[in-house]
Amino acid sequence: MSDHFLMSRRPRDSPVIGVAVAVASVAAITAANFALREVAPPVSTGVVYLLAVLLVSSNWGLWPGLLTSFLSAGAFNFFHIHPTGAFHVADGGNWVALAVFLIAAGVTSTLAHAARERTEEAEQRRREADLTTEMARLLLGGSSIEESLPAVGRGIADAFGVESVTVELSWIDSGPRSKALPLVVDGDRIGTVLVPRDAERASLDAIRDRVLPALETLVAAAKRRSELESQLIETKALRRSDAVQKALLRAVSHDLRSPLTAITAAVRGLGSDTLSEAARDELAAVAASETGRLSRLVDNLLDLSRLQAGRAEPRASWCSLEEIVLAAADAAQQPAAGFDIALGDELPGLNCDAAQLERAIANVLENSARFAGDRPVTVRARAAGAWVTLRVSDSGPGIPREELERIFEPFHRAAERPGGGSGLGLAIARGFVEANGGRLRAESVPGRGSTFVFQLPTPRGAPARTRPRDPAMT
Amino acid sequence: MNAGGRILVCDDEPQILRALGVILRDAGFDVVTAASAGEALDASAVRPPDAAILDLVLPDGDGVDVTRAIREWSEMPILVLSAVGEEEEKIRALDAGADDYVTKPFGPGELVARLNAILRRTSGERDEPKLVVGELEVDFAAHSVALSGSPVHLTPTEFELLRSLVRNRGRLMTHATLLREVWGLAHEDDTPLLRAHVANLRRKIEPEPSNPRFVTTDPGIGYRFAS
Repeated sequence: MSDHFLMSRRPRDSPVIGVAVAVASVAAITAANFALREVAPPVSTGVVYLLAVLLVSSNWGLWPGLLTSFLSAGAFNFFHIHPTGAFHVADGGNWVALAVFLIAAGVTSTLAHAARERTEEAEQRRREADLTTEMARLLLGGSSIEESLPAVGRGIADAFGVESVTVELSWIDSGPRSKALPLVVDGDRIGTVLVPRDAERASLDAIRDRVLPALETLVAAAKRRSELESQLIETKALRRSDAVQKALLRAVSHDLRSPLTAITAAVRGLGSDTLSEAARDELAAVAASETGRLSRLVDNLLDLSRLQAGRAEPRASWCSLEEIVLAAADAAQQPAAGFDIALGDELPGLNCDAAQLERAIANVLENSARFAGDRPVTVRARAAGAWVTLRVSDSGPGIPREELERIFEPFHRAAERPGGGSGLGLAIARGFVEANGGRLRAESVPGRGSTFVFQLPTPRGAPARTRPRDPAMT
Repeated sequence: MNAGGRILVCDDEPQILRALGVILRDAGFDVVTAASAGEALDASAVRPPDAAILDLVLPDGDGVDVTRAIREWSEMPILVLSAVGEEEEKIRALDAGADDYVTKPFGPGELVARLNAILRRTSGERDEPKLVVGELEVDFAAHSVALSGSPVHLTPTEFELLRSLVRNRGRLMTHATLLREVWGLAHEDDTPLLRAHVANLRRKIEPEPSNPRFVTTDPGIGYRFAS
């Protein structure tokens, strides 16, 4: 039978066990019938032997089943047909009974065996259908084709009970131990399935005839999908870089133009003869403040380009976080309600570039000040393990979750930008913090405020505590 | 000369607001400032100013939205502050009813001159039967035009175009606005049609058509009649 390969080899399929079960069950039924010999005529109990035939042929196949039929006939004859205790049959009618019994047993055995094969075939088809579903899931699901191929190979090997199956997207030739089955779509060879040479021929035929066509279609679909996906990613990246450039241009032109507009208006306005002294002072203040803003913008652009070019080597030295924070708060533009700084006394010293860290903290303070409204910006610090954590919190509008990382991208701006930041400060702050071995991230409860968390490394052997006038500090 | 009056200035840059405040007060205006579109609309609703100066890019919207909102209930002159790269917004603001624009950065002289020009437009906006500008005489009632005393023959379309420009003199009329007013909505995008008629009109009413004095061009945006 061509579908014989379909039977997966369960342990109890072994014909030796089948024979043993045949002998044991025939013996048991014989013993039971022997006990019943006084109450029931032997011809009627003989039918019980068919149970043994049914059991053996449906579990161990045709030949053990036929063997059971003969054993049963022999036992029936020996123990139950007169004269008992011998294979001799005295009565001609009993010969007929014996022959009928043997034929019935043989037919039972054949039918049971056929039913078993149909069940197993159905089971195998189900496994193949499962295999196709699984292959589709692996190849068309999330991961890349290359990553899913080993699992596809394992799935095929398991379904057909062969040792190993390898699926490759390249053209591989048969080897001494493996046979190559080509995967072909529209006349193009798109890959190879390697199966072991010593696997059953029927399994190999089934893999070739029933698995390969499905696999070819699936691999072709998966390849097409991944091509489309990579095109999409490329398009998105192009569009994004285009958008970034436009944003950059807009940001820089806005950031340069706004102070230039104010300065131009103020300086040309100073030419008027009718200006009062106070008005003159005010225009001068505008010009001074906006030139400061321009010069900070230039500093920021230079810092950013240094950071991006990897040329922001920190010049590390022992320094005190408290001193750096106080200097940063002096440098930054004050929020309406000021900075509320309380750092605690037990902070360890840091080994970092104090100037870079001051710029980073000042940028974050300035950013928070812009969003703080009329509430103070609080600054707190705590040492834990090898890290000092500095938290700068405002009670502003907060940052939407999807913006928490993007705000650190250069030229990214909040949708509402009171005071119009340049969109560079936070990118530079993170750049400097990371250059000094630390980390900077944002946390926020939208509507309640935002907190910027600096984590700065404290080297082993750091002085327990440094003060602004600590002589150990350089 | 200036008309005085209350000017609403809206810009999200505090230092620009501050400088404009000083300059406009020095030029004899009262100044109300606003830092956002919302504040500008509130301020103009509470006590309507005589004119508004609006930045095109505001944190909570743009000058176009503010212009459109103000135009729903007021004809006050509106001057928008635009920057290179904001041409599209500028034209949209003018289409929405802004009178003119000033490009950043600007000097106080330029700003005050533009402001005065658009303020004059509203003060002289009533339908006069007759207008005399230099050698040009336009009699709207009689549908006649004369240049240095000699009559000029205009086609009905040219006369409508001239009337639209003169009625809005001092104001920068975008191509789309003029096309809408003279030819109707269907011709809004037909700039070549407008260009051809403006050329014809200039040949007839300008003493020097190649160097127009009455109908001046704002390249890419529109035309204005000298005020």
